[in-house]
Order: sequence, then structure tokens, then C-alpha cells
Amino acid sequence: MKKKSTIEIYMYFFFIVFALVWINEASRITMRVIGEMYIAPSTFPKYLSIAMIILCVWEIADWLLKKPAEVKKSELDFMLEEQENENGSNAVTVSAEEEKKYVRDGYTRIGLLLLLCIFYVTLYKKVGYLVMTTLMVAGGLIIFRVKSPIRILLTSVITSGVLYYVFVNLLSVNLP
Amino acid sequence: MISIGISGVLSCIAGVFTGIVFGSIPGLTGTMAIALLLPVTFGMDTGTAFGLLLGIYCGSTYGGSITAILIKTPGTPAAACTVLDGHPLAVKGKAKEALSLAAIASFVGGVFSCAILFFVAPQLAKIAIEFGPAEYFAVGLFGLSIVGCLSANDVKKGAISALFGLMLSVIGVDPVAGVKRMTFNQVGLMNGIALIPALIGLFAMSEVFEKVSKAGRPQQRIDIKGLSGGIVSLKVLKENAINILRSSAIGTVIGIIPGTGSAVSPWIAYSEAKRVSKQPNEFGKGCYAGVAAAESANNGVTGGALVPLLTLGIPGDAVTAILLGALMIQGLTPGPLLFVEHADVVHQIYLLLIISNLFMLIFGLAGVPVFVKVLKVKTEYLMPVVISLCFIGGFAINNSVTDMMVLLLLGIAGYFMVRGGFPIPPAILGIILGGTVESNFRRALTMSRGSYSVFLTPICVTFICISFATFFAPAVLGIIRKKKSKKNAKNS
Repeated sequence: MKKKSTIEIYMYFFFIVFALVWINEASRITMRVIGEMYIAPSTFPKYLSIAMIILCVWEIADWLLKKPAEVKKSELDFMLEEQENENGSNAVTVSAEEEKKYVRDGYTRIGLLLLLCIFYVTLYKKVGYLVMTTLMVAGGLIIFRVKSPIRILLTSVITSGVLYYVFVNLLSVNLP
Repeated sequence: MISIGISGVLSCIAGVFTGIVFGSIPGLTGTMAIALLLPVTFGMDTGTAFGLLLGIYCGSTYGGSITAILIKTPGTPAAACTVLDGHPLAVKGKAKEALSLAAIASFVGGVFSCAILFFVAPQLAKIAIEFGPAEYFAVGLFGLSIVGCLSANDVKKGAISALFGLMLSVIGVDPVAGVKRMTFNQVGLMNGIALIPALIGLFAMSEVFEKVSKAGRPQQRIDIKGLSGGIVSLKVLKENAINILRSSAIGTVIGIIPGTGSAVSPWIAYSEAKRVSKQPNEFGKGCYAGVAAAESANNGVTGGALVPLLTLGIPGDAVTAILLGALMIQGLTPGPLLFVEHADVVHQIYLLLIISNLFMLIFGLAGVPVFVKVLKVKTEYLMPVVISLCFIGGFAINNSVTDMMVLLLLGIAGYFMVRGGFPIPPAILGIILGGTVESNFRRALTMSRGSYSVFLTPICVTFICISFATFFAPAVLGIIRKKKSKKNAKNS
């Protein structure tokens, strides 16, 4: 068994909460359904949720009770891993201190991008496609550390214009 | 008479070009390209839509080899094996020879698999035409059971991911009883989770979040030296003819088995080529046979993976899962009836696959200098464009902001799932096959007045047994492997 990461554990808790919400909602369906059915509409969601909870609790119990040990790897696993280490990533090796900084920095950027996306989705219909997409691309470029204002402006205007032309003129899609 | 039209051919060209670009840039994948461009196919006729998507599929499988050979970085997991001999050939000044050999081997692999698809698929469809709801349930179950194979080395995580997808698939109006389920009183969720926003969110948006989290890290500069050498000689091709055909067959057979895919087939074909070679020591040092084996096998998967998709409606991997969505968008239901009711579409798919492979060969032989220039485009400029394309694509299907919200939420969920080591393809399988499995199970029971004996037909029992075998195979093989290595350790 491999050592579990913090995100992995959080994900198990997320899936448990998700399944509990599903069970609660499924119990409401049962009350609404009238008539005899061989399989009620609530059966599938309920049993899927129970299976999800069992698997997640099993994994959490594994994490709490068992000591992590190295997994025995096959020759193919070693070949693939070696290949990945040699060629798969072009990231430069950094110290542990720097790594922490990059992780923190990464989450800040994800948070910013998430805010930008929520802002985009919320105002998309009210403000309109062109303005919102130009702002979205510009914001995205800043988050991705593009520094030149002229490049940001040009890329965002050209991107929103080209996408508008493709979707509206060529594909006859209605954009707000 | 099959007609594709000029629009179908042009979309093939555009698809192959896009596929090679996405396949060759490390971090961008063919799956992402297909997910992003799926909404674009909404207003297209079937031939044009599939020309574009199959073009991307074939192009991206080959595209990964360009960076694998030139800069020792495989653009796709399928091209990881090509690095072993492709890059040493480039170092020796034979980059163009390696690239042209990769293009020719990919072409042969693709066309070979298409021929197998042409002969095998109609026969399988003839058997599948007799299926009723109980059999469709069993086939759907078999489709879900491949999560075991799609989950790398953790079946439990794969099962959790598939359950997540299945749970999402129950959102909306129940297909049998007609009552609302899991809609949380949101009108936008009455029709369930739209497939395209879900696909874009889980595959493309999650990748954007992954990229943004790494945006500040120092990266090694990609150094592409000039293309050296000429096109591969006829002598080399003659020497590798059998190797290419054998590897194409390996790739196709592996492609037909759901859940295996193009990442595994090149390694098996490579080791087989090495085993039968008269000069096995040359492998890994810049051997033409290594490149030929890896590339013909990974493109051999393309046609093979379409066999279960078209005949049974089972997507064997992430790309075919999206292609299943594309068929649904066109109002077609993959499965045996497709061969009866829309035989013209099936024939169009065969032809488009061959045309895509042909243009892949042309681009591979003549267009490499262009793709090398494309490689220099920085991802920080590409990603914001990808974000906009994600949202507009998600919105365009139903003109719905709810779909955009679903896309964003699944994008975040997908990002954390990837970070936590949960595979994404099982979740997609769950979303796609959930409805089929549930509604056919309930229909079968309604028809049999609640008797479970309806599932005891030979076809049902066979598929259910295969499903269990497929699901538990990776875990059982792991235990056997563990025992063997313990035994070996004791002996030594």
C-alpha cells in the first residue's frame, strides 16, 4: 500500500459527503413516487451512494490502521517510471523550501482563476460574450504570468474576436 | 454509395492538423482536443463532424512522436516508447528518417486496424442485434467493469471514480418513472448533466487548473535543433515490413480489448520486436525497428478501439468515450442497430478513418517543419484561450449558464481527483453508461414482472462473468505477482 496524500484523504471525505447528500435526496424521491414498481427510482442512487461510502470508509480505515509499504513493481512499471523521470517532465528540480513556495503560489493562482471563472459565468449573460471573454482571456494571461500589457491586450481581443467569428458566423451559435 | 463530400475531407485535414499540434505539445492531449472541439461539431453533418474528430484522434496519436523523437519528451503517453530509439536516431543526425518512419509505420498501423474494424465489426453487430434490455444491461455492466483496467494500479480508486460518474448520471428526470431525481429544484438540471460540459470540465478544465498550479515553476527550456537527415530509405522499410505488420496486429488486438489502449500496446509490440530481432542489443541505441514497432502499435489501437464502441456501444478508453458522446450528439445510438439503421454512417466512419490516416502520412512526411514551429508557442498563451473555448463550448450546446457552472464544478472536481490519484476515464464511463445500465435493468425486470431469471440467458451470463473477471483481473494479477516475487525472493 502506498502512502496516501492529504488531497487524497480530503477527496474521500468529499465523496462521503457527496454520497450522504445523494442518500438524503433519494429518500425524498421515495416519498414522491406513487404506484408499485419493481425497482423504485430511488434504488440506484441510494445503493450507489452506499457503495461509495463503503469504499471511502475502507480507504480511510486503510490509511488509519495500516502502515504504508512500498508496492512491488513489475518490469513494465519500472520501464514506464524510468521513462517518465527521464523524459516525461521538463520541470527543474527544486529544494524543499522552494517546493513549498511553489505549491502555495500554485494554490493562490488556482484560487484567482476560480474567482475569474465564477465572475465570468455569473456575468456572462448580463454583460455579453465579447466584453466578458476579452476580460477572461486577459485575466487568464495575467494569472499565467504574461507581463507585456500590449501582448495581453492583443491576445485577448484577437482570441475573443476569432472565437466569436467561428461560433456565430461559421457555426450559427447564439452568443449573448 | 458512401458520400463524404469536400467538407468531410476538409474537416479530416483540419482534424489531423489539430490532432498533431495537440499531440505534439507536451501537456496538451488528443483527448483534450476532442473534448474541446466536440461542441463545434454540433451544427455539422455526421461526415464533417466525424472527419474532424477522427482526424484529431489519428493525428494526436502520431503527433506525440514528434517531440518524442526531437526533444526526448513524448507528447502523449502513447509515444513514451518511441523515445527509446527515436531520440537516439535524432542525436545521430537521422531525425527526418525517424520521423518519416514513424509516419509510415503509424499510417500502416492505422489502415491495418481500419481493415480489421471493417471485417470484425459487422460480424459482432450481427450477434448483438438479438439483444434485449437484459443483454444491454449486461453489456453496460461489462463496459463499467473495465474501470479495473483503466485504474492503473488502484482498482478501488477507479471504482470510486466510476461511482462518482454513475451518481452524476442519475441527475434529472427518471427515464422509467418520470420523476425528478437529484435536481435540487434547479430547472437547469431537469434534463440531467449535459455530457459535453461534463467531458470538457473533467478532461480540459481540470488540465487548465493543473497547468495554472505549475505556472510559476522554473521549466527546462525546450531546445529544438534543426531537422537533420532525409526521408527513410526503402531498404529500411523492407527490413521492417514484417515488424510493422506484426506490431499493427498487436496494437489492433489490444485496442479491441476495452480499457487497455494506446499507452500499453507500443511497449508490448516493442518488446516483441526486440525478442524476435537478430540484433536485440541495438534496441535503445537508435534502432529503426524500435520506432517502427512502437508507432505502428499505437496507431493500430485507433481502429481496434472503435470495434467495441460501434458494435456494443462500449467505449474502450477516454477518447472513444468522447466519440460515443459525439455519436449521441448526432442523434445516433452506438450498438448493433447502428449497422442496420445507419449503415451509411458506419461506412463513412471507415472511410474517414482511412482518409485521416492518409493525411496523417502526408503531414508526417511533409509538414514536420511547420509543427516544429508550433512547438515554440508558449503554454501561457494557449491556456487562457483553452479556458474561453471550454466555456463557450459548454454554453453553445444548450445556451445554458447552468452547463457552464456544471463544467466549472466538474473541472475543479477533476483537478482534485487527478491530484488525489483518482483516474478520470472511469467517471466519464459512469456518466455515459449509467443511464443505459439503470434503464435497461429496470426495463428487463418490468418485462419479466420482477423475475431475476431474465438475466440468466447465455449472453447475459457470459457478459456478467466477463465483467467480474475484467473488474477483478488487475487485483488478482497483482496478488499473483506479489506471491511470485515473494517466492523469488525466498529462492534467491
